Amino acid sequence: MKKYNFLWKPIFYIFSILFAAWLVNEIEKISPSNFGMQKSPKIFDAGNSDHQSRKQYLKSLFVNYRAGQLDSAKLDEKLTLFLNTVENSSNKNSP
Amino acid sequence: MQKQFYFDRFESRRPYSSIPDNKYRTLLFQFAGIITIALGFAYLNWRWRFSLNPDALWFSIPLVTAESLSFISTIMIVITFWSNKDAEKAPPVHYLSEIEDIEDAPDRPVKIDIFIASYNEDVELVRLSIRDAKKMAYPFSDVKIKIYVLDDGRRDGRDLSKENMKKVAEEEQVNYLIREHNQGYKAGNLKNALEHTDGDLFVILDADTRAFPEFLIHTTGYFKKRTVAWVQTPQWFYDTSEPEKLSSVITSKFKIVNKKINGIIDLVFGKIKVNEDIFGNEPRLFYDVILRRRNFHNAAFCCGAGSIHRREAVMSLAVKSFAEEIKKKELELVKKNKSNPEIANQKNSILLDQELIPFMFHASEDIYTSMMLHSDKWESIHHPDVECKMLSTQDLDSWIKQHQRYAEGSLDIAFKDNPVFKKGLTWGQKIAYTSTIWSYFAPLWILIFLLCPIVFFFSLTLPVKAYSFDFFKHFLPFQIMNTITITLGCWGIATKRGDQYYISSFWYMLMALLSVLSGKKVKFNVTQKDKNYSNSIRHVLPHMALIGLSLIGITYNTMLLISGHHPLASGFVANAFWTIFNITALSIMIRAAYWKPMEAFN
Repeated sequence: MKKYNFLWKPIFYIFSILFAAWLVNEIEKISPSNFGMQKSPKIFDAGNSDHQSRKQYLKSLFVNYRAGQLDSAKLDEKLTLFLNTVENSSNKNSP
Repeated sequence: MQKQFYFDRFESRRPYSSIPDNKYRTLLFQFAGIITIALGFAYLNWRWRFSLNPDALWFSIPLVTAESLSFISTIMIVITFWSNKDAEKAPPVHYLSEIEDIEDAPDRPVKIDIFIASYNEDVELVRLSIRDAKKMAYPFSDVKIKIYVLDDGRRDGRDLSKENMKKVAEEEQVNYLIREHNQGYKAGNLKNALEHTDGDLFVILDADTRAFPEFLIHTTGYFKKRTVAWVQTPQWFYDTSEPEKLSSVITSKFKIVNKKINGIIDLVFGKIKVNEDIFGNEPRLFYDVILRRRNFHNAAFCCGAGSIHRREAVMSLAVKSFAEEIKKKELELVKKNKSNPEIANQKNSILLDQELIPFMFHASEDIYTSMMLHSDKWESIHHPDVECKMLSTQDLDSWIKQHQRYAEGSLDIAFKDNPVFKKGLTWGQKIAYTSTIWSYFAPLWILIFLLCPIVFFFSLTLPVKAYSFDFFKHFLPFQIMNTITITLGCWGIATKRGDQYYISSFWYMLMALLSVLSGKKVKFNVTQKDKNYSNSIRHVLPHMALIGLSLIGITYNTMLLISGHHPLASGFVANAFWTIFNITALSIMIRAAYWKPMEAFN
């Protein structure tokens, strides 16, 4: 067995490289939705139908878009989510 | 009566012990290093491809370029720190045949010379170095050890306005060598010494280098390996500033005499210690990590004082350079279509004019000569244990001059004889030398890092699309792994002061870079080792300006935030943290400029 000791280091380096590649790949997969997917729609639940807060939210979206913090794809995504939530809440409230 | 020096009170200080090697820590460092490089590539890939702010490319591109250049340093650090390979220690040499092939010549005990190079230092300071050199022990009485004072200041009594170095050498019964000019500066001084001596090994000490008694016992054994050209020992500065109580600094600086107020200040600030190694002279990071790790690549370069050399190595380099120079000049003559007798005639005069130069005549003669010897397949050894003590620069002016010389010398090598294209160097050696030179280009990206938050504060424009989740997802893992890797690489050594000086010296390094780029001749400034509490404020004006602008920027942005008009609150928070880091780093230089030891106040 001892005569194969020289293999440990190359194996260790190959493992390190593979691990690093796996880690980079995993980090790439993470997105904010992994953390808040369930919670964010609740902001616009029927209980929170304050017109002012919706207006404020829309305003913040546009400010962030103008400042370059949001790109058009993200803006579109957030607006769709917003409109769906508003639609859902109004459906719930209707008789 | 012996002259009193400021460093007398530090005589009892003992040097640090080198960090014991640990193979598991090395493996962990390598693992972390590989991950850091992978994360760094992923981060920069994302930065270049997805994060640039299309509305502010003038801001985005310089920052991402600076980050990329800085990442090259990280890669080179991982490679040069890769592994530790201390050379095997061996008992001291006795006979010449132990270190050289003597063939049929009769064997004899080795001869060792000790050179103490001096220019304008206090002769009583040199006397201390001579006395310590005389105390060097050696187990073989038949080994001849000769001490030479190499005086480049012509202080032999001819000029009564100067101190008499020759007299001190005579009083101490050591040899005294002098020359009539300063051609080649320190390298020229050493060349002159080699022409007048015959030691097989020679030790280089500066005027303030105080060798420990076992210096030779611990270092000569390495030369039993016949390819070893020199052994460098760590330069340990035993006079770095001690930590001071913040309360004492405040009361001294503001001359507070009221006992009650002093008591309150002591109560509040008494436990805080400041100003330890205020000039960042602690050399442990450099010698115990950076240079020592280069043993692995056979790329540890010579730093002058505290080194021991094989005469054969430097002389073979000198002869080779001599032959190459003659050949070059001969070719020039052929190109000019000179006739054969004319060439032969001029060749003779060139032969007479051309000198043998064992140490490269250069502002960074140590590193340049090392590179030449490495390219000639000689080996170097960095001995990990401290075998001598030295004095550090004691004021900012001297510190700047010393570091600018290092920078200009190294950059000059990059432009004139770049290690990347140097034949004979291995890839490890090329990377190690390039890493040293590359570090002197750092002001280019440090300046951008320092300016970025200020630009944000006043333009309210981000250099990235957004400080979004995506940004932190890529940035934080890389930064955290980078910190872990450096911590593992520099295990057991405080790097805070070194980091601060790396950033805050940007201005002087930038001036050095511009000086070399403009083609100015690199000067060899002798480092002042006396205390000189001159006003150094002019040196820190750029630092003050940057700190001032940062503070104004933070105030302006805070006001915008309070009034509800700040369009980029997350950008402000990120840049505020960045600024605090920058100010902490820059402030050390201002503190150093104003620093005086307590006794100077009193």
